[in-house]
Amino acid sequence: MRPLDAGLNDMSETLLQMADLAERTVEASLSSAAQGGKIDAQVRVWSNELQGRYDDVEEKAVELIARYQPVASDLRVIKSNMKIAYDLARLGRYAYDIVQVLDLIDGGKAADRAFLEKMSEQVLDMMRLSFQTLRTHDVQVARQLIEMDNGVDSLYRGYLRGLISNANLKAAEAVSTALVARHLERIADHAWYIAQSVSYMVTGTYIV
Amino acid sequence: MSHHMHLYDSHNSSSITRAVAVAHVLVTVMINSQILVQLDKKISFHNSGNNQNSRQKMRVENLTAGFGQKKVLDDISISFNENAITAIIGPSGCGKSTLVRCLNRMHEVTPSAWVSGHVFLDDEDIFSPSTDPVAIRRKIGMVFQKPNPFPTMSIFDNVAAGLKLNGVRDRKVISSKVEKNLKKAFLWDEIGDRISDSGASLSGGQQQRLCIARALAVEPEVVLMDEPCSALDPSATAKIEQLMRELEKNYTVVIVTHNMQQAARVSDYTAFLYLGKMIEYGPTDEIFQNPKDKLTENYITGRFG
Repeated sequence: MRPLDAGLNDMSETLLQMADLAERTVEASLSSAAQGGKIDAQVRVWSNELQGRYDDVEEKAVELIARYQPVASDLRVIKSNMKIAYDLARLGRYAYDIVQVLDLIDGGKAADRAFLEKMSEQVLDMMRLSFQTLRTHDVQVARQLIEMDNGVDSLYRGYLRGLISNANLKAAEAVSTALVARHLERIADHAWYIAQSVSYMVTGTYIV
Repeated sequence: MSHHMHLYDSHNSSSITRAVAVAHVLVTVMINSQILVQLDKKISFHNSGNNQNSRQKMRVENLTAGFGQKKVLDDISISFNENAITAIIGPSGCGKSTLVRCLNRMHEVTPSAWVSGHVFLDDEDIFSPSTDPVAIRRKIGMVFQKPNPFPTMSIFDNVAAGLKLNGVRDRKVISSKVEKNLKKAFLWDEIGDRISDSGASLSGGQQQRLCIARALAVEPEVVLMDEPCSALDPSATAKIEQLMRELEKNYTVVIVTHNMQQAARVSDYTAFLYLGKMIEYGPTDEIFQNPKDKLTENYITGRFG
């Protein structure tokens, strides 16, 4: 094993732990939403922890570059790991944003729960598939995410369009649902970015 | 070997031909034959100054070469673009030095050396019987691993040597060309006030830049560099690398290097040789970020070689 390999293995191990934590964080946040916005202080703690571990990964990446001047797949792994760690930290942050929105607006009671549950399901499926790609490096699986992301996008856009035409909608419902939907849409995007980074790491090209 | 010795003898003083150490003689012969310029040939100085130019300056086709029974290069085909730096990398013994030495017909000066295939400079086949190897070496200069200024000559005379052999007699012309080429080699600012000192008095990095100035003085079109920085410290290496980037604007540069990071830093194109075969060739950023061949990947990431 080359000296560089120990550092790369450390980074990959950290990413997988981050993915587990991000999954728990998003799940906790969404279950909190489903239960009508019970604030889960844990979501905030986990989100902060994800941010801290992203900082660690970035520091490790810079150290490995400075020490070993990695090239080819080594360089791609480091670049991708930095991006993926950032995406995972963002997942945690959006999870925390969701519980904040629900806390702020009527304790989450006003949100369109049926719509958000439907969207959450799709987003969680995407996130899990993305993490599967991260664990297995199976880039073919990642292709399914394209279709899924399109589905999440159209749900989100459809909801926004509906807001304009629905004059009877209360502000609390409209704002809390739209903001949570917005964060969910961003979570789906980052799940897709992670799969893209895995593709780049493994093949040197992004999925198109 | 013989015709080089002949040329050498006919152009130079007999004192040098009495040199005894065979290896030393060989190196000296090569350097001198490199700067011998035929008087009747008009010097064409290539100067497009266009970095985007991707015109092929040299083309190697199915080049196979070796020594005696040993095959060192096996069916190599590659092109070298004008106004670009091409790095040749690969583990020791992979044939990279032999490849560059074929590019200006220096390979054949070693006894038992043989070669087949073609090397074109522009459209001229440099192996064709009608091609004068001395003229080829004037157009395709070479800088070696170990800085080798003529030890008994001053800095000035080192650079002027090729011009004088060229028949340039006008001292003003010689002076101005010496200055111009010392400037090109980033040496003038450092030693312009002591150019009558011995070339051997310079630091290793300065000596190597002096050798580059000497190679440039005869106005080559292609500059070959065989491990030009392997004997230099990091700051001297950085200066040579900066110089290479300048040279690229006016010349076609081919560099052989063991130092993959150097290839990554300075070159536009990289060729990876392994066991005499060309494994992969492409833009440097592609080779170092996403090589196509597993062998290339394993070599540049330090898994072998």
